[in-house]
Amino acid sequence: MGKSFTVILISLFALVTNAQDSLCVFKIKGVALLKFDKAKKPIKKGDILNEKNTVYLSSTTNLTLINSEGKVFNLESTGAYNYSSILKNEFVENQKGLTSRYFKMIWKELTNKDAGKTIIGGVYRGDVLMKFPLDSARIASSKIKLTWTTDENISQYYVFIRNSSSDEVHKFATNGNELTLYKDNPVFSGSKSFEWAVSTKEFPNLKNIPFYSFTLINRSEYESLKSRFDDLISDLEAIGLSSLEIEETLCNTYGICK
Amino acid sequence: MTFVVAGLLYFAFVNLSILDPFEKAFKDFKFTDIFYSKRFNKEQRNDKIIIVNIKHSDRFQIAEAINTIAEQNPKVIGLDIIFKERKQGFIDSILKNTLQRHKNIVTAYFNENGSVINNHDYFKLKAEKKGFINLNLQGQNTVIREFIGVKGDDEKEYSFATKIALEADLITEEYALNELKKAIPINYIGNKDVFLNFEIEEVLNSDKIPAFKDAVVLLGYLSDGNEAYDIEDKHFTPLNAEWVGRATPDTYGVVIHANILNMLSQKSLMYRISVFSTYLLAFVLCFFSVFFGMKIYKRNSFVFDITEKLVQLIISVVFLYLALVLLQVNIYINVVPIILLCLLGLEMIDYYEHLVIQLNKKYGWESHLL
Repeated sequence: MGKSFTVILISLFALVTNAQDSLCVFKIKGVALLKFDKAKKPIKKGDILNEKNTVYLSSTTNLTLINSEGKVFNLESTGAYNYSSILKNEFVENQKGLTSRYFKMIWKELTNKDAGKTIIGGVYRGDVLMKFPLDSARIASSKIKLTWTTDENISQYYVFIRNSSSDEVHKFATNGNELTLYKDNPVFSGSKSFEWAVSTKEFPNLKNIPFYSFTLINRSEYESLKSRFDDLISDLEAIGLSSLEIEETLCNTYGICK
Repeated sequence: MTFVVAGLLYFAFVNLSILDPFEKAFKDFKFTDIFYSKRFNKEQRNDKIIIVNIKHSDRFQIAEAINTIAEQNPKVIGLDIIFKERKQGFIDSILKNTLQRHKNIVTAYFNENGSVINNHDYFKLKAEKKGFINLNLQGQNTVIREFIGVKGDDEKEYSFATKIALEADLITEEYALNELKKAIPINYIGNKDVFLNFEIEEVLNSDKIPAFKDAVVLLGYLSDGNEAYDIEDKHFTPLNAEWVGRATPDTYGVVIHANILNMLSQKSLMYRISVFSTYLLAFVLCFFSVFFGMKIYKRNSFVFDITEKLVQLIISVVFLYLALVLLQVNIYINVVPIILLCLLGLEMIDYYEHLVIQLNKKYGWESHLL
């Protein structure tokens, strides 16, 4: 009797232990930390989280977790999440039912909205996203602001800055359309000539994406380059442009930026 | 009458070699592919079936990956790889040792033109657990829609996914023998993104991946870089975004096995409505569509002529919708004959009228509808 009771108790304990749910890290973009037993470690795909764990998320991180039923939980805002707060972030996909999606598709087919896919017989490797500074620009500013075109369907962009002399590449992930770096940033050490590119892929083939180049110059080099456009500057002054507007024009048209 | 004409048309399709491409094109096309292609099914994720992409790794790396995975105590390790030849003696001995050491490994083989292609004899294991990886079935074209879990009567052969499901205790042998001997539509839940998947480097560089514990881990090929242009072990499935016409293959073989395994683990097998029931339903629906079509035709042939195409469109849209609703609850019906017969029946009402007139003249036969 005593033995049976012990066996039942052990079985019940095992059942309760197994019933405790856990979350599996399904996908991670960026950096997140997992706190367990007062220690912290970076979260990796395939890690299992339980009720004792806390997750710390930095900005631009996207963490997808699933539970044993296959329910998806998505964390993307900076902060600390304990187990119960993770469960509040259930990600519901395909909220629309079959009926609505089916008839939407039929409507698209009838109105030919899905047609018009361009087919070309040639090599084309996508649009150049980079907007500013122009290719082969010379920049005399202590602040280098890179801007690019964004797409509403894409949330993350990867900026690559390559040192032209050493081929060393620095990568930045951002969700906006600009990145500002200062001249004293280690990225700009050891050279004056750099190339930059923006991609929507985290690991693009760098040999196969277009780069824009820029050179960092000092004030006297800038003045010297500017003096080549004296005639143009006189004409622009004559039509009433201020010196600031003239500098902007030189920068946006000829890539000589202050 | 519609059945006779449809039968004659089908006979012409099957027997005229010039029309062979049409028959093949029709086999490549299934209305119900829309369900998977447009992702009408409920999104699911699975972390109990894990895929490891072996890329073009050598046998030493594969052996190391198997060892790392085995240390985490997975239920089963499925190798969707065939080591057909011996390569380097030393490396091969490491791989052989690895395969022998872990008892929960399921290997793969395939049948080709009556012969069996499997691992080189050197890698053969005692009481080897193996499953066939053939995905094409007789009569099935290039699109992988169905699978057979068990082949043979006396000497049973199990498919790769079935063997893994048996070894992982996801199904019983009795279930496999009862349910998986006939072709079953694969209940796809999605492409590789719905399964937890790792690159081989991630496995080799990790001391521990907790998700492997008690999971089924499949080692197979999932591209070696530029996936969009890689078609090695990639096949056409209903998941293809282009559900009609030519497109590039969409799903890697190991992902197809993972989908089958998911279906087996959840016991979410598709119930296929028999050919007889399908044609019986087609007959009944065709009868009623012709019946109501004739009623409208008799009342006002002008109204019938201008509404005929609209009615045909509505019939197609509604029947396809009903087939998709059934698919959502795991009932598969071949809706093509039902739609085609109903459309053909309406299209032929003019001919029926001429036929009735002729029969009336010759035999005095009268129709109550026309």
